[in-house]
Amino acid sequence: MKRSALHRWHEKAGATLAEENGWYVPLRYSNAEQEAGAVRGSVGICDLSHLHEPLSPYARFLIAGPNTRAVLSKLTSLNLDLTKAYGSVAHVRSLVTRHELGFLLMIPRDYAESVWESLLHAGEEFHITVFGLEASRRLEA
Amino acid sequence: MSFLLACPECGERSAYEFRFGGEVKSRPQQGDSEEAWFQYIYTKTNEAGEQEEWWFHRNGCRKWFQALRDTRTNTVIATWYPE
Amino acid sequence: MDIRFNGKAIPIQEGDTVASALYRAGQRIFTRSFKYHRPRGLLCCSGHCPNCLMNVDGIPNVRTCITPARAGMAVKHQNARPSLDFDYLAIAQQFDWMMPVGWYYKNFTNPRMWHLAEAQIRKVAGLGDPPPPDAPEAVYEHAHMQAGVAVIGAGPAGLNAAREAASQGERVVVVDDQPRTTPGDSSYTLLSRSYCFGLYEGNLLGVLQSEPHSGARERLVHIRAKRIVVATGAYEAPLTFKNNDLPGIMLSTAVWRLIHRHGIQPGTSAVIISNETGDSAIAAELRNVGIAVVATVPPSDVLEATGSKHVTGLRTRRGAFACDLVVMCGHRIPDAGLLSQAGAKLEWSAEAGAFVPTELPPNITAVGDVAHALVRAASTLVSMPNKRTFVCFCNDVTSQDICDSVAEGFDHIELLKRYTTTTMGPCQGRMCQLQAIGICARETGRAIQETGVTTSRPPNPGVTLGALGGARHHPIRRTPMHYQHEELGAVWMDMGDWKRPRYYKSAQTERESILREYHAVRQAVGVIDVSTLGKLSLKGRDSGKLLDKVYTNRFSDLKPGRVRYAVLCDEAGIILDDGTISRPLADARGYNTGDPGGTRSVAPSVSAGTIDDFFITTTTGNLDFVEQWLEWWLAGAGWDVQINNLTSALAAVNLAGPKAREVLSALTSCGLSNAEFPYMACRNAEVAGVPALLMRIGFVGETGWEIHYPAESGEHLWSALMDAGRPFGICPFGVEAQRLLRLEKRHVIVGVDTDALTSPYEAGMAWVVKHDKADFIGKFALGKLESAQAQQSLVGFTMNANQIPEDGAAILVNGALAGRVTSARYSPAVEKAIGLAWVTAGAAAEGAQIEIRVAGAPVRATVTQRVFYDPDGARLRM
Ligand code: FES
Ligand SMILES: [Zn+2]
Repeated sequence: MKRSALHRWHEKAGATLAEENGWYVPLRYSNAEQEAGAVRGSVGICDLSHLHEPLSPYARFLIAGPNTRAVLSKLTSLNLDLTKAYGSVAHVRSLVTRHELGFLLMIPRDYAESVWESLLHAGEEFHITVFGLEASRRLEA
Repeated sequence: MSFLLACPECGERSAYEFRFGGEVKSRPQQGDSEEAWFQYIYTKTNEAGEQEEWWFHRNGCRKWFQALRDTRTNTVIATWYPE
Repeated sequence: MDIRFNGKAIPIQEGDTVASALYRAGQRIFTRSFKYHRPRGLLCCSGHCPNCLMNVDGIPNVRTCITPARAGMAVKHQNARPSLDFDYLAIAQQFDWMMPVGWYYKNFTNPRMWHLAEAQIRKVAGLGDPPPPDAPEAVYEHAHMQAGVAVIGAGPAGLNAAREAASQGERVVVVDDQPRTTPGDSSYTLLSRSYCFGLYEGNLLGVLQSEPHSGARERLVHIRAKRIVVATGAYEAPLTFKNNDLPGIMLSTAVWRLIHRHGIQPGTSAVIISNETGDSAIAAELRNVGIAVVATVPPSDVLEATGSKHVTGLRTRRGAFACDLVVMCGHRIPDAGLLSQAGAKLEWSAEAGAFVPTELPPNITAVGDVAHALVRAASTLVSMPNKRTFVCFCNDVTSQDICDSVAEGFDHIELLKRYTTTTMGPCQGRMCQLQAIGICARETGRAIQETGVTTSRPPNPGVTLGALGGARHHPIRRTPMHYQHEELGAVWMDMGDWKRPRYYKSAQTERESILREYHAVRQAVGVIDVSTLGKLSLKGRDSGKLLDKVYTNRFSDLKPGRVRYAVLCDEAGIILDDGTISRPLADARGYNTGDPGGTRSVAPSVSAGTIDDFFITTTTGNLDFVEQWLEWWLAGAGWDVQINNLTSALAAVNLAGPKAREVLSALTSCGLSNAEFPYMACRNAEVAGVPALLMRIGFVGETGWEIHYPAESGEHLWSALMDAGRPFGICPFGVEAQRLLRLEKRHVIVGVDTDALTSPYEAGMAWVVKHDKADFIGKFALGKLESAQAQQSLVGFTMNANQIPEDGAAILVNGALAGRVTSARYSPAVEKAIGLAWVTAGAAAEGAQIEIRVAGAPVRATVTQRVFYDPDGARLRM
């Protein structure tokens, strides 16, 4: 089974992991409805690394919710009016793409946990939440 | 050192995002004079004024391009991909 | 609701700053001056002067007059011992004759004198103490904004400009140092309690925001604006007369703020110093709150203030007045520092009595008072020399000092600044610059315009180092097997951003643990995580051509299924990096790398598609450089080469040792015999069900394979190897064991054993330079170096006695310095300490005797050019 760069982080955070297309994916950390609500009310991050092409150097995060820009602007000098641009996020060169719920971040795998932690740190003032695939599906519905 | 450079790919970004690659020079051929190679390898013009330079967009598209920059004011007059 | 001041509870009210609360509680002395330890009180109440600096919650030099008081704050005075009220260093005033202007330069020209004095001076000099190491860490952060228009200053002029720009559809940000009072206008973003400390190239503004939210002390905001409107207004600077620094002598703006913002009556009887005749506005203000206005006098009539710890009166040409408040209607100076940083000229306006900005650069405008200071109080600008007339409150520079400086020849304003240190303190010239210029002009007989202003440089006002540093998230790179290493007891080392296991704690001591790893590799099998190696895939018709051009040896003729050692040199023939280049065998399996940017679409190297594919490994630290170097030589060349950086996409391990083949064969169907998979060959194969590129190479000197495979299977393959290896005694090994193993093989590490002057010839690698190629990078210089007599060479050495030199230890020949050690370790194979060293040409011969300094004493060693372990490489080919 393939593991995202955040596999161990999810385990430690008590995520419920499931198999999807040969990958371990985090379904939820606590309660999907609560996670989705927290994202709608403020901001949250989700690991979507399993949606990746073979041999990709990138982990893939979704950051979503009304405070997305406020969190990202603490970590990048990119102009967030972008639709797609490379830039530094938490000191790591990444690809940032606009997404209907917020932004998709493509972070080099080996920096993934470091950037993830930076996002959580920068989002503390907004009570940032982590959310699993179940919540992300609710948000997209 | 916070001037803006227009990367041909990504648009205007802070100079901090780039790596400076030195003056644009043309490389002698094997068999050219020792003097020509010496100048190429070891010397720089260090123009006080408009100078053609190499820049690499390290935090962005990771492409090399060339720029015409006034070294006295850090005004970047033009940027382009080398032919 | 209290704050604590030197341990004592001080009540606070709504809207209080730390200083206003202290003032209301009766505190009049807020600081002691820098040099003479004179008592100082509130002067500007606007955050412009040095007079109210205190330690707040462990942070030194906080301007208390603009810091909101919050219940529980711990406030301490600084720069006074034992107390503000009684400071024994005030005795310094009696010795002012010992501290003339420039006294450092005059008294400490003799270095021995300086050493004697330094310790004493350090004790009393400086302002405030840094927080102790165990202090709770304050949280700082950064943020970035882009604006169509940035307005600095939310006064009437600034807000007007903001609204106008917003109505034109611009994205507007307003920066203001005051707390937000009104709900404000939603057409622009307001950063309150923020000051702009610098205007940099490209219209970048540095803004420091206090307490952006409850979890952070300060936030440094980088604002990029298309257009900047400077609406910083004007500030008031003090007048100069004898004892003008006594507590109770305040600028009119300070008095206004104490009365209106804080409801404080700052005295009972006041003298106003103003050029305005008749009843001034400030006089009415004072009377309104019940302060008697004893007199209003013009500055030119003032002789001196009296009092010791607080003003008690003012002596003037019109008589002496008893008072407890002196209100200075000071010079109104446009706050044009940002404009001058932007490149505007400051021109003297006699009618305004101030320098006003002109020649504004494009996209910068000035509105309000900063553009044209109020014509007011163009008072007698300068005072006569006096040792108690303070020009610079920050550094205790008097009008006497300025005159002396000019008399001593430091009469250019920039020289005068550096010699006297006026304008160089926390106020950065706000309080003192105009006075200093005025005195300098008078003393030199030059006009004020001609005298000029000193340069304004950011940051102004100052910024805490914490804010510049920002949040504490240093990026960390972890390999896919990071947590497995942790479970195995890894002791970490940093390599750039990477974390690598230095060794695994498996025995009592570090040395035993490392030796255990070493012996496993030499006698059984070991595995090391080498995911940190740079990994580049090359695709395209001209890949071989590019490699032939940039590397010193030839690759276009590399046969599919083969690996070759590669050295990269610059045009001067200096070694930049080394690594391997493989040409994987064509394989039907194809993986798309799917570059997320969509700019490149490159087939993978793990399972290569075509004959044009090359796979490069670089050293851990040089990947970025090598990638850029290759791209640079491609730029504009028009060659068909695509470089894809797979470093993060691939995990890599090196499995090595006499049992490596047996372990690996349990996990793959790939033939591993010498015939099927010889030394320096590469194959695509599945290992434990994972597609991988295997290379048979031997950095550590044993039969072994470097295995590159997708990172998401990092843990899976590592576990599989550990499981398959268990019966053979497999041992994970770290960087330290690897370094010892390779040293026995005399393998060079670029950047450790080589430096910025090392060519392949000196490093003993002449064979990697293929001069028969028509051209390659470094060919010209390497041609010269080949025929030149090398000044020094990299050699091996064996210690004669049982001592291990440190890396970098000096080498002596006949007592003279003859080189240095680059790597040294105890070698279990040689049973002696061995190493690599740079030595002068004369000492490089086989068997030459050298001395190496170990723990201060020379120890004998023998030079060798031979490989210490398995010189013929038989074990690599087993
Ligand atoms: S009184 Fe606080 S800075 Fe002047
Ligand atoms: Zn770019």
